[in-house]
Amino acid sequence: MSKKTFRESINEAIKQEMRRDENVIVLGEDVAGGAGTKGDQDAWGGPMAVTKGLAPEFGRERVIDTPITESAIIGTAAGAALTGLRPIADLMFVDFMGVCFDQIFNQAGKFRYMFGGKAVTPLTIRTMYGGGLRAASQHSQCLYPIFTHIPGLKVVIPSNPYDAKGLFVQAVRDDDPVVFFEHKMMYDDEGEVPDELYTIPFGEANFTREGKDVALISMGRTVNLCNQVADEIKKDNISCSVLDLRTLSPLDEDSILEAVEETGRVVIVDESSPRCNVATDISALISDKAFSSLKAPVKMITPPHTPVPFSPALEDLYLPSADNIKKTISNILN
Amino acid sequence: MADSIIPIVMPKWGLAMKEGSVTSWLKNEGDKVNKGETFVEIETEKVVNEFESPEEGILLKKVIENDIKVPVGSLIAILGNENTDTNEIEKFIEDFQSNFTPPSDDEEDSNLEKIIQIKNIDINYLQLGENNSKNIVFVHGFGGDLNNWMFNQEELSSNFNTFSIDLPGHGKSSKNIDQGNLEYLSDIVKDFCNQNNLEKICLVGHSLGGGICLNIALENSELVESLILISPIGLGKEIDNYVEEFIKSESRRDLKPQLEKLYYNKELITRDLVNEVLKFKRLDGVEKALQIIKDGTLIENNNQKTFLGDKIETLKSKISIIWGENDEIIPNTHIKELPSNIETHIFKESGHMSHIEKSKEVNEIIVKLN
Repeated sequence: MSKKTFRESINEAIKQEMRRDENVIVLGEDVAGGAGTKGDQDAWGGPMAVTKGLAPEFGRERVIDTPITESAIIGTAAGAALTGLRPIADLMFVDFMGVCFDQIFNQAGKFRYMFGGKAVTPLTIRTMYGGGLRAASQHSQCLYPIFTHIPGLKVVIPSNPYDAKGLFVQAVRDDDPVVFFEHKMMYDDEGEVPDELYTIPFGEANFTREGKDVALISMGRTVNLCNQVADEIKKDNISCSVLDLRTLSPLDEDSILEAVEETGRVVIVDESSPRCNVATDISALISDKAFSSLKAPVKMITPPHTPVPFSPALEDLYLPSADNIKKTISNILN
Repeated sequence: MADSIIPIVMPKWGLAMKEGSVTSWLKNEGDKVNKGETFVEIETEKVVNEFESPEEGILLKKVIENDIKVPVGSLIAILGNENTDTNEIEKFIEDFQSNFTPPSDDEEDSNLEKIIQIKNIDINYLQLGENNSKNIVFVHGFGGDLNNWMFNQEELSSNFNTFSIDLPGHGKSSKNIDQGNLEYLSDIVKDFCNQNNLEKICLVGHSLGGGICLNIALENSELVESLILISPIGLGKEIDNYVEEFIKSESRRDLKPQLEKLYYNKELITRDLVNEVLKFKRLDGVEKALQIIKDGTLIENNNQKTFLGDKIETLKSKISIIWGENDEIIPNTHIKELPSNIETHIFKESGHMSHIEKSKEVNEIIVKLN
């Protein structure tokens, strides 16, 4: 056990799974960098250096730099998965899903069903999401609700380095296509991560804080915002539980209902655009299955329904904030 | 009369503990607290436990509020005598707080744990109190690890040279084991003692570890001077289906009711504690290792596989056997089958984990036997 960053924990998960199983390969734009040139090899390791060091250890046959064509990356990976490999495809920014979405939702996501359960698609798609990098509206979206909407896809969204490694190993070993969401502002977050391989099953949400007044439900990076708020308002004698969903599909409905029953007040924090997102989905679930436990209306903290602003001042206003969460908590308590 | 100001700080229970919080005060300000009396409940990441006062005095001030996590060593309360001046208390708190630096994160306490190679596998262990001459070796139970001794080892290390080990397949020891019978597990512990040149040791074993320790003592009377067994296997047939269910439980929801069987006080089983156990269970190789030990030593046809009760009369070491009245895993009726000259203790309000739920009493028994 030692301290590792989010970046290191995913790198280690990929490396250890590649050592364990020779069918695991990595492909994407600049996942190594320098392919076919006389220059620096393994120059990049992806835009955030998550895959750095893989090419020297496993060779170019298993760490494949692709052309700048998302449809080719995902199409190749889906076919490779169908024929026996366990590819890890790097979609880089989730904002680019538009050009390869057919392969994801109508091909990879459907193979098992269209071939009567006789075909499996052990494909892991890594992708970056979220605001905060001042990267403007074409490189800052969340978009995980779109993938969550599609039956046949599994959607994973870790909030810390320990979960990142365990969920990633599970994704690689899973026989269905898994979309693995990494918030681009989290790569330097640190936490205790075992050196050994381990898995975390999909569909098990995790209580990161215990409390009895209000339940904060969230996913990915905003879980940390909720933890921070829960810690800060303890001194005002308000006790919040925080539920980290970990996976959006499958969704751990039981833990959501448990959180509602324990507190009666719920604030859902979701960084994705507010129409048809995870917050609205959970809110609907709660009003359907836990209405009688509620002591106050379910509150949702999301950005406004606009593209992510490029102006740093506006982007900060756009994203869910600790202040916002605190105000909402105090409103539903009074 | 007590000193005018006695600072009470957040204790450190076990190596992993970095911070803790007060869950409830059992005394009010102005109440008298005796030495050794429990007066506050403290929660760590792993467990909630009552804290015993190191000194006698009046509880003058509760310094921290409930449920706020503070680092180990932080001031949590002031004891003293009735004549202590309020300004003096305030001044003391102010001075303490301005001089207090929490232990830094970089101080990797877990570095105190060491790995030793035994029979080609890694065995993780912790040694505390190396300057003392009398040796104690702690051996945990099925599914546990050396942290199970957090209320015993550190406390006893002031008078003993103490070792706790992670059994094969457990804690930070190797998970890739190919056998798990009693002889193999006993040899691991025995070789551990030999490699550390330990002689005339006191073996303290819990449950599976109790069976291992008893087996070693029966065959190596020259090595084992005294023996403490806490809810051990090997003294009767009956055992709960905990072992099978523990291996099978993959989710928090399935595992929690199993872990609750271990304790008299079910509230000790928090979500955090269940998560800690799940973290261990989810490591590659653990499930297989646990299965191997279950089949090799613990269970045969829903009963205990190991029986040593018929040999216990031949034991040459001093022995004391401890059981919880409310043990739901192995019934304490096994004590009744023993020869009458064997010292036994049954604790009220204690389950399968008496070394945690009745740590003070268990520690006293260990000291007395030695």
